[in-house]
Amino acid sequence: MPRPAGSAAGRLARKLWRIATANITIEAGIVLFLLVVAVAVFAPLIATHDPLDQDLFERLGTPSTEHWLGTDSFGRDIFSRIVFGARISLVIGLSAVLTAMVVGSFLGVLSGYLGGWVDQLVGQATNILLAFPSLILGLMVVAFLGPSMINLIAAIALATVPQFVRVARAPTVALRDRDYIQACRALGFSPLRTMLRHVLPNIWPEILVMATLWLATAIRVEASLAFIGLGVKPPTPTWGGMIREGFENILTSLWLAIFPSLAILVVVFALNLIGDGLRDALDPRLRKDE
Amino acid sequence: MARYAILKLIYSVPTLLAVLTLVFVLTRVIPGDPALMILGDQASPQAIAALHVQLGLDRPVWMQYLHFLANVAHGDFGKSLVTGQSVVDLAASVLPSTLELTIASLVVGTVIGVPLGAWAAIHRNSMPDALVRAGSLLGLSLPAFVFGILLLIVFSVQLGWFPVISPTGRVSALENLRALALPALTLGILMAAYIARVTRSSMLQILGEDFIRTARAKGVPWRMVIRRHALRNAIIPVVTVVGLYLGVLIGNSVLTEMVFNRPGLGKLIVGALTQRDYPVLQGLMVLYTLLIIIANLLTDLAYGIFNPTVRLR
Amino acid sequence: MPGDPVLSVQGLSVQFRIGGAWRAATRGIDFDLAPNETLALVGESGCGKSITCASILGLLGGEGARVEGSIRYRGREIVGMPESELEKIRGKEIAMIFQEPMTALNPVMPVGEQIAEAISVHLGCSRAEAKTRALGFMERVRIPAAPERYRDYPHQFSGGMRQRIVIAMAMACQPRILLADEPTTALDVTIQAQILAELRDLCANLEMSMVFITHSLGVVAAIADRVAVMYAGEIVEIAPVAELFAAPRHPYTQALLQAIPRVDRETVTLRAIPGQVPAIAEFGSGCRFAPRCPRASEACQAVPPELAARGGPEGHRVACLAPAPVRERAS
Repeated sequence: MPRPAGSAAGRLARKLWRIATANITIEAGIVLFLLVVAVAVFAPLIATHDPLDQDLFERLGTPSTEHWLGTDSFGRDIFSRIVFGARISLVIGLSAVLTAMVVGSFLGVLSGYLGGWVDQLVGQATNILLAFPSLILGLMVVAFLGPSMINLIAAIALATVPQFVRVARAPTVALRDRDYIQACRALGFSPLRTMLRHVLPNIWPEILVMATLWLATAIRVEASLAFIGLGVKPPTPTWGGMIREGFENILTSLWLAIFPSLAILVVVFALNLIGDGLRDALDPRLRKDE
Repeated sequence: MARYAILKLIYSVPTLLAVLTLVFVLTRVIPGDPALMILGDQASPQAIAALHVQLGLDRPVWMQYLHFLANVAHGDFGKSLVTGQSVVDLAASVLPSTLELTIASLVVGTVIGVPLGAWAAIHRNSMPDALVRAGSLLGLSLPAFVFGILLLIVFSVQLGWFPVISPTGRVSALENLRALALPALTLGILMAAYIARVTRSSMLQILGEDFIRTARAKGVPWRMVIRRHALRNAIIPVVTVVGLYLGVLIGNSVLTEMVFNRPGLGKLIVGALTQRDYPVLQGLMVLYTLLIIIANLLTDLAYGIFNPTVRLR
Repeated sequence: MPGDPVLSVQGLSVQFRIGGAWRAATRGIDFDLAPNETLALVGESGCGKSITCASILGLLGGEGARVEGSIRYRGREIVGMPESELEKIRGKEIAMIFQEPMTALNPVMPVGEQIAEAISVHLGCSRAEAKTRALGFMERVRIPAAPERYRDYPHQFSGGMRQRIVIAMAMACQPRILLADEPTTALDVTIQAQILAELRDLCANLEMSMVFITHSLGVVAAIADRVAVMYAGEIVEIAPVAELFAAPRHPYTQALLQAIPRVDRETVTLRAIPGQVPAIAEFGSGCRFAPRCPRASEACQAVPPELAARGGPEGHRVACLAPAPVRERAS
C-alpha cells in the first residue's frame, strides 16, 4: 500500500494529469473554473464600470450596450458587480477549504497516530460537527461573531474540517502499527513526520476530490449566508448579496436576481464536474490499492 | 428496539451538552453588553447594574453557565428582547410550519429521487443514465434560494399558479397546500438530485450481487427482481442518507422560508439576526440541535426497519 | 441410456466482448442429459463450466455476451428464446443452485418467502398454499424446526443450512433438471458429504436429472453417473464415471487423475501438469491442450479434434488425435 513518498506522489500526479486530460467532464469543469478564476484575478480590467459607482439616473436599468446586464436599484453596473463578486466568492471559498484541508488532515493524522484521549476528543468533536449541516453551523457562528470576511472563512472552514479529519485518520491508524513505522521511530526519525510522509501520498487523491467538492459547497454556503444577510457587508459586491437585493425587486426587474444566480451556478457546477469526474476516475484505483 | 433507541438518546447527550456550551460561549464573546442592548444607549448606569443582577451577569462565569444549563433543562430560554414573548412560545408557534415543509420536502425528494436513481442504474451507460446523472449534478450545484427564486419567478410570477407570498393566519387546507407546494418542490427536487445519485450507485452495486442471479434463476420476472430483490436492498444505504439529509433540509428551510416569505423557524432566526435578539437566537440554536439529534435517532430506527441484519442484534 | 434426453447441448459456444473483440470462452460443447441422470462437469476454475450452466438457463445475454449453438430442453430451443418464455422455464423446469450460499440468498427477505416466491411465481397459487409447500421442502432438506424458522433471515443460518435453503428453493417447483454449480465447494468437509447425500436422494426421489459442476474428482465419484471433463472452454472427454476413472484416454484427464493424492496407493507420486491454462485471448485454433500435452504433434496445432469414440465404446468419447489406447477392462 504505502510506497516511498516521492515516486508515489509523482506517479499519482502523472496519473491524475492523464485522467484530467482524458475525461471530458473534468476538462470542461477545469476550463469553466479557470475562466472564473481569471475573471476574478483580472476583475479591474474586465469590469466595465466601478462596481460601487452609483448612478441614480440609471436605476433598475434593463440590459443595454452601456450596462450589459443592467443596473441595480442604486444604478450600479451589474456586470461589473458580478465580476468583482467572483473575488469574494473565490477568496472566501478557497481560504476556508484550504484552512480546513490543512487543519483537518493534520488533526486526522495526529489523532490517528496518537490514539487515546486525543483521538477520542477529535473523534467526538468531528462527530458533533458532522451532525450539523454547514449552513446551520455557518449561521450559528456568523450570527454571533458578526459577518466579517475572517468570520465567514472561519465558519465555513469549521463546517468543512471534519470531512478532512475523517479522510486522514483511517489510513493513519492502519499505518501506525506497521513494522517500518516502528523502525522509523527506532532510528530516531520524528514519528509524526514519518506518518505525514507516508500517509499523505495515500490520501491526497481523496483529499483533492474532497477539496473540489467542498469548495463547491463553501461557495454555495457563502452565497446562502450573504442571501440571508450574513455575508460580507454591503456595498462590497457579493453574489448572494446581489441576489438578496435583486429579490426585493423580483416583480419588476427579474434580471437583478437571475444574473448573479447564474454566476453561482456556473462556478459550483464547474467544481462539481471536476470533483465528480475525479472521484469516478480515481475510485477503482483507490479500491485496488486497498 | 426500544433499548437501542434509549441507548442512542444517551449517546446524544454529549452532543447536546457541547452545543449548549458552544452557544453559551458564543453569547459571552459577543461584542457589547447585553444589558445595554436591552435597555438602549441612553440607559442609566443604575438600570444597567440592576439588569446585570437580574440577568445574573454579575456572578462568576461558571455559575452563569450552570444557571444557563439549569434554565435550559427547565425549558426556559428567556424572553425575546424585541417582543418580550417567551422564546419557547415563539418557536412553538412556527415550528409546525417548518416541520410541515421539511416533511413534505422529504417525501417529494424520496418519491422523485429513488425511482430516478433506480431507473438510471437499470439503464446504466445509456440515455436515461446520462440524463439522471447530468440532472442530479445540476441539482447539486443549485443553492436552495436560487432554485426557489427560479421556481417563484416561473410558477408564481409568470404563470400565477401559486401564490407569491404564503398566506398567513387561518386558511383552508387547499390554500395551505397550494402555498406549501413550491417551497416543498424547491427543497424536494434539490434533495432528489442527491438521493438519485445515492440510489443509483447503491442499485448498481446490488444488481451485481449473487442473489439477483438466484432470483432470476428461480424464474422471477425481471421487473419483480428489480422491485422485490434489488430495490429492497438498494434502499438500505439510502435510508441513512435521507436521514443525514434531514439536517440539510432543516438548514435549507431557512432559505426557502425567506424566498417564499413563509412563516417558520428560518424566518424567525433571520428576524432575530437582524434585530440582534440574542435569547431567541440562543433558543433556536438549541432547538436546531435537538431537531438534528432527533432526526439522527429516527434515521437509526428507520435503518433498523429496513435492514433485518441490524434489527435483531 | 434409456429414453430421449431431457437436455441436449450441441455446438454451444459462449463469447464475451473483451476489448472490442468477441472471444469464445467455450467452444463446441456437446452433451446430452438423460432422464434421472447425473452428469458431472469437471475442470479447473475458469474452464467454462459455470458459463455453460448459466447459458442453459439463458442467464447470459445483454451487451457483453453472445451465445451460439443449440441448447434443447425436451425439444425446445433455449438459445434465442424470448425472456418471457425463459422465465417460465427457469426455476420450474430447470433450477439452479450456486456455489456461495452466503451471498446467493437475498439478505432482507425471510428465507421461507424466498422459497415460496419460486412456487407462487410458477404455480400461481395462494400465499398460504405457497407457504405450506415451501415448509414441506424446508423439512425435506432437513432444516430443523422449519415452521419457526420460516420467517428468519439468511444471516441467522449457518453456511450448510443456507445451502439447504438454496436447494429447497431450487426443488420447490419440482424441476426436471437441476444445475448445481459447485454447491459444496464453500462448505466444510463434513457438511459437504451431508449435502451431497441429500442431493443424491432428492434427485432419485423426485426423478430429476442433474448437471453437477465441480473441480473435485472425489465429489464426481460420489454423485455422478457420467463425467464430462472440460479444459479451456471445451469438453475433452466424456464417459461413464467408472469407465473414466478406470481408463481415461485424454492426456489431460489422465494427468488430472494422477494429480489426485490417494491414500490407498503405495507409491505417492503426485504429478502436477506442466504449464498453465491459456487465457481466453490466447486460444489457438487447434487443440487447446496441445501446448501442455506430452503427446502433441503438429496436427494437434492445426484443427481442434472432435469429440468422438475413437475406437472405444460409444459412450466414451474423447477429443484427442492421440488418445490412450482402449484398455481391456478386468470386470
